[in-house]
Amino acid sequence: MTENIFDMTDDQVIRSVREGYPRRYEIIVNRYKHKITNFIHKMIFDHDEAQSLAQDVFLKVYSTIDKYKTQDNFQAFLFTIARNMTLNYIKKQKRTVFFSGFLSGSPESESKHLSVEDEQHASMERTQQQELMMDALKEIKENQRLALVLKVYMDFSYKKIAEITGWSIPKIETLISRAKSNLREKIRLREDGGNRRPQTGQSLKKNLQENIDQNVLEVRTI
Amino acid sequence: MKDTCADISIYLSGYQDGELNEERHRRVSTHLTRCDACRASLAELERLTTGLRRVEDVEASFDFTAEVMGHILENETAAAPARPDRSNRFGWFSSPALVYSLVFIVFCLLGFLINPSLRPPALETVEPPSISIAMEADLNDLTAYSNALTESQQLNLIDVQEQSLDLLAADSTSRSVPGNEVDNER
Repeated sequence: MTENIFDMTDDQVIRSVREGYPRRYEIIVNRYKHKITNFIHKMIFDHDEAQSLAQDVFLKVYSTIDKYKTQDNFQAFLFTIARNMTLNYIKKQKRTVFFSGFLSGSPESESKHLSVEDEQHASMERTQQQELMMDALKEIKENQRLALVLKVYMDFSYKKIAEITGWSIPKIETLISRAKSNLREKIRLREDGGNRRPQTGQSLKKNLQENIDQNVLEVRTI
Repeated sequence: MKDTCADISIYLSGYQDGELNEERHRRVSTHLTRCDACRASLAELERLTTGLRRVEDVEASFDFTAEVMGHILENETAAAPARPDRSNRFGWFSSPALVYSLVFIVFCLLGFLINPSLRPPALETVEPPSISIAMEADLNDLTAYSNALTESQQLNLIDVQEQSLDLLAADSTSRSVPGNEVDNER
């Protein structure tokens, strides 16, 4: 009976790569390349950079393949490396933006990864709604964005997100809840075009209550 | 006890994601049946998630895999000749235990050579006196010398001494009677 290598599980492929068939790593790359590129893109919003970083992720996984225990979840192993490299990239970008902004005096203009022309071109292809979502996503904190992207775009359970990030499930619950809440708020602000009506006593009270609820939830999580 | 909207709002996101345990799920479901505001909040969360999911996915480029595999295989082939063939390169010398043993022995030998106090004491050999020396020696000296010898050596020496005395006696006898030869010839 001949075994079809494309039907092999991740663990079987990894084992055969270790046993001296490096070309079989191609199966892993083909299986996850779109998912990893998409994940990174949702975190950094730059297709070219996302693709380049995704390639680095696969190279890193290959070089550290001996650390992977075949009984574990390979997808979690892969996404843990992708998550670490993406957060490092964002941190590095922030530092670059800070220093270039410090030198040029215009940090805002540098914070965009794409040139104005590219941005305009890309914008034409996106609907207004999508653009609104992307902009709102950019503005929330990295940890909240990471948890939300893993949930919404990668369709991972809280348990799997916990494996990838090393966070507790209550913390993930809080981060996702806060991410959604912040996104709603930012989208509402954008839809209002920045001309928000002054808050009435009732809406102020409601917002205050929401903030208190979130803080309570955070304290409970801690 | 009835749950308030504040109690429920913190679980709405988990409820939407289907991540609540059975008890919390039941509490939220019960509350939603009688609370319009929380139902509206949940609907808003659903709209948000739908909006997020509409953001287009991106895909890896056509040559993504080829580029990654090119890198990997290039490094593999570059690294291959440098990888030592442990089975053939050193042969029997590849055993670490053997190497350590040899190093230990070399160090021990060096220690003996460098530090004389570490050397083993040399064996004292007693050279037996040669017979010719004994014969030439004065008889008194020979007696004194014989005292220091072992019993068997002393016995040998006594034999030699007696033979020497016989020879000397025979010599003196022949010198004191010179006509004996003539007489004998006669």
